[in-house]
Amino acid sequence: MGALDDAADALLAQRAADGDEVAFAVIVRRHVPYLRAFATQLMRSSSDADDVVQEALITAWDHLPGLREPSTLRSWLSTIVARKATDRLRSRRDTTDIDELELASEAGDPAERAELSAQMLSLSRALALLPDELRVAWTLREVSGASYEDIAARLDVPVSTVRGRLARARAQLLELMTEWSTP
Amino acid sequence: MTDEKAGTAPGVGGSGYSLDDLSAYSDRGRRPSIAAIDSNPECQAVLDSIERLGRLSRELVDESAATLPRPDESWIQALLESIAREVRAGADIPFPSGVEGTTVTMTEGAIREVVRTAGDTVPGVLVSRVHLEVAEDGTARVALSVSVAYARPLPAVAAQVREAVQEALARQSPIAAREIDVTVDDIHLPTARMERP
Repeated sequence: MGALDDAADALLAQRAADGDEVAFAVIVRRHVPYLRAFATQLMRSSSDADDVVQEALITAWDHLPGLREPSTLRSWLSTIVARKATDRLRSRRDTTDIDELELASEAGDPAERAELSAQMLSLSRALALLPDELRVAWTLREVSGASYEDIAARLDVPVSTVRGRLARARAQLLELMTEWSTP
Repeated sequence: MTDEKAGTAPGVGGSGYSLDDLSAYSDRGRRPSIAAIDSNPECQAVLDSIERLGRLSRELVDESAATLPRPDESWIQALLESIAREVRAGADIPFPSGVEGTTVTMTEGAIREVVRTAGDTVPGVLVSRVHLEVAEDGTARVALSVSVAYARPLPAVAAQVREAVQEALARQSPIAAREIDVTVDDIHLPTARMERP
């Protein structure tokens, strides 16, 4: 089934909507790297990120027939990942013990990989130090391009809270990164 | 946010606007423009940093996507095994029965697959959407959209698709196609892989 490997997202999405599992497998292979990277930034833990992406893709399969613009597949998938990630963070907040969480965040930290530029490394490390609520709001804004209203609805907080979190996230990131770049 | 804020607090660079304000201003695409911010070098530097940080975050995700180890095949297989196949099955269509008291049926989902597979056998064709309308008498209207490789003669390709689908349905499904509509809704570039027999 090599022919589908090069097919456009829109075609694959429509075939998968019709029940073509082979097309869905191509979608999964093509988009999983991005979705995992996005989920890892939201969750700061690669095993949590994998769970979130898996749940999101199972949901995506069920809802593909309702996808209006099949060519926007990746951003649609990212939205589902963001939803699953925020749900999981909400439940994790109450149940996980802190030590475990910090270990997980180190294990999933892309900062240890040599490929990243110095600036990306520094952003990645700074992100690891942000509280969940700031990191998630900021990632939804900057990576997903979500509006304040979307973020507010997703996190179930007022728009004014979103505005405050984004400003605090930026202040902390800028402060950390400036601190590290000046010897 | 209005200019009357200026003067009530020093703000960034004495502009009267706080980092909160600048952060929201950046997210609005610096619109509507606020002179006190636009003319203030410190505010400009902060806005540029906020925006640089945003770009960097998108690059970081792209870069991580490109360099993170790929998920193992077993993870992907487990995922594919857990998707709910039945959600696409649709109605059961009975085969015209020769034998009293027995019914053999095929789901609409399986019939769509027959259509898709038949269309794909035509060189240069990839089937996209398959739509079925089955009438009471077991005849059906089939509408399918296809993508055709660049430079293929469209009318001839569409005719081949129609023929392949007609034949496959007659052989492998309970329905007789009374009408087959083929819509070419995309043209794709042929790749070496696709043109290989």
